[in-house]
Amino acid sequence: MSTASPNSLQVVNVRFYRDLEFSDYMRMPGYSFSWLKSGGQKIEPTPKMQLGTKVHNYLLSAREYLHAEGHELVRPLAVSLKGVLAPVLRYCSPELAVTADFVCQGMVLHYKGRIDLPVISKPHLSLVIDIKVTENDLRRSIDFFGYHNQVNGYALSIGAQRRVIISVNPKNGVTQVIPIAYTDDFWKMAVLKYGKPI
Amino acid sequence: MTTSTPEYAATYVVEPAQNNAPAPYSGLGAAPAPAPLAALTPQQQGWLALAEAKNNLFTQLQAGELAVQAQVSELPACTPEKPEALTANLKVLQDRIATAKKIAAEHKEMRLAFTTAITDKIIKPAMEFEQRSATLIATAGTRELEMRKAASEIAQKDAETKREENALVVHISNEQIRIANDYRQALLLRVHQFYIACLNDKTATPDFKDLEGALREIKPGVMAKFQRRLVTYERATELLSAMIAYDPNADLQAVINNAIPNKFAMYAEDLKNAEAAAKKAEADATQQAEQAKEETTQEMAINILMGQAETAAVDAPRVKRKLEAIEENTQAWAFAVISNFVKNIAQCAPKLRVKTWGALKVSQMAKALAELAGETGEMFQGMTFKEIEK
Repeated sequence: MSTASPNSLQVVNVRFYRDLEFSDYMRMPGYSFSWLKSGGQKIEPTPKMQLGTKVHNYLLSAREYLHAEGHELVRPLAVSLKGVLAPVLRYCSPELAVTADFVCQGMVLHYKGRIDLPVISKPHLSLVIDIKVTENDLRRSIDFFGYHNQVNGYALSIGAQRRVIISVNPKNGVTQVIPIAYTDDFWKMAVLKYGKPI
Repeated sequence: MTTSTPEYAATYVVEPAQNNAPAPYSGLGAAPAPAPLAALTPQQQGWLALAEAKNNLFTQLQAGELAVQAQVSELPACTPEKPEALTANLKVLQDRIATAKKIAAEHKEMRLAFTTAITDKIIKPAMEFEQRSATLIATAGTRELEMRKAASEIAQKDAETKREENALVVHISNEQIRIANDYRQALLLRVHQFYIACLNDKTATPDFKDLEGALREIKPGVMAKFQRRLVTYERATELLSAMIAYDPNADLQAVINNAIPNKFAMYAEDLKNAEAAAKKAEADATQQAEQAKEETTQEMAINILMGQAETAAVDAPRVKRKLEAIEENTQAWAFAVISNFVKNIAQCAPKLRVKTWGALKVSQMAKALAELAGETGEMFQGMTFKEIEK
């Protein structure tokens, strides 16, 4: 029997969607971290964001990567990231889409996320890996953009006990690996703000 | 409102301005009336003499300019249709130019005599102040660079030590996982072998005490050595003690209390079809061992990934390093620079700052190539570079 306190966040109705195209994922109902962060506003991707998307596609969903529209930096950056990820890549399910219901204080929020590299396994082996392409120190980017909340959303949805963000700097190809601590405050607030009564 | 007056103010007495007193010189209004020459100090008289010398010089220079003008104004006409007149006029103009040049040269000498004295007596001595300051600042800058380098080296060594600590923690963790898995599998294999033997021998009452004794004979493996380079023995011990130690006895007890009863839970039934049961048990054991091995590999892989995490920010003063071309002042060196520059024009061009391409210098080309070499590590034939720290 569950003994969760009324104020804790519970995750139910978890569903995975493997091999889901990004466009199909976008059409799925649910609140994603990106939506919550932008308040539903459509953000026009900057050249830097486009480069990040290309690196993601090349590394994680090669089928969606358009080689003809590639960027000279994409391959070296993907190679740098692969060097760090090599030990765990075989255990990952790249670009796994997930939906779940986050429940807190009698409210429910239908969540959706598309996880870069999750390891779905026994709890102590489960892991969420998120990849970023940034010129800044990753710690600063995490603080500024709230990436820790994004990754914790992923981890909550798949029940991962470990979370990590790996970045690559497009200027020099240097990678950073930052483990992310558990926190669900952001998602509790999201449930209370955007959720519906059960 | 009453205000307190500072004590030193009492030593000054401000007299009301006299109506006939000259207005103080503001630098913007009329110049003060000249003081009588006898009232001036020798230094003031010297400056006055300088002003007078300057005025005299300018008068002479102006006269010289007028003299030049007289020679080279109203120039004779160019008349190719009248060859005799053209020859005569050419002679006249050449003479006048020669005269004008002579006058100009004489006046330049006059100007140089004055301005050189100004340079030697005023400008150069005045610059010595800033030159001495620049030397002092440069000395301080050298010390500052030395300190930054030292701080940077310490920070780098700390970061390397931290990386080695991380690697050590991963090593300990992965060795514990490996040892634990090997030990568990060895115990389970022994239980499995005992089970198969019991089935094959049709043993009605298996001797679990015998099995337990055999299990106690199995010893866990030992940790492989880690090659420490920067982490001290004390720190390594500290790191090891901070980690949860593997307890092989817990695994032994778990096998005795859980795995054995579970394995033999259907023994009586299995005994009735021993051959088939043994075959199934063999398959189950193989599958279990493979799964355990896979999970161990996965856990170790995740440990390796997480071990790459930075545990501390390296925020040391930065020492900028760049390459500078060593100028050889030879024709061969200049040609090498030009040749390398042309070969790498696409990468070098963005590094140049030129107003007019006609003024592009070999030294500028060398600078661009040095920048390129610093970025790419590429070396250029016929050129050598030195590393500059800033």
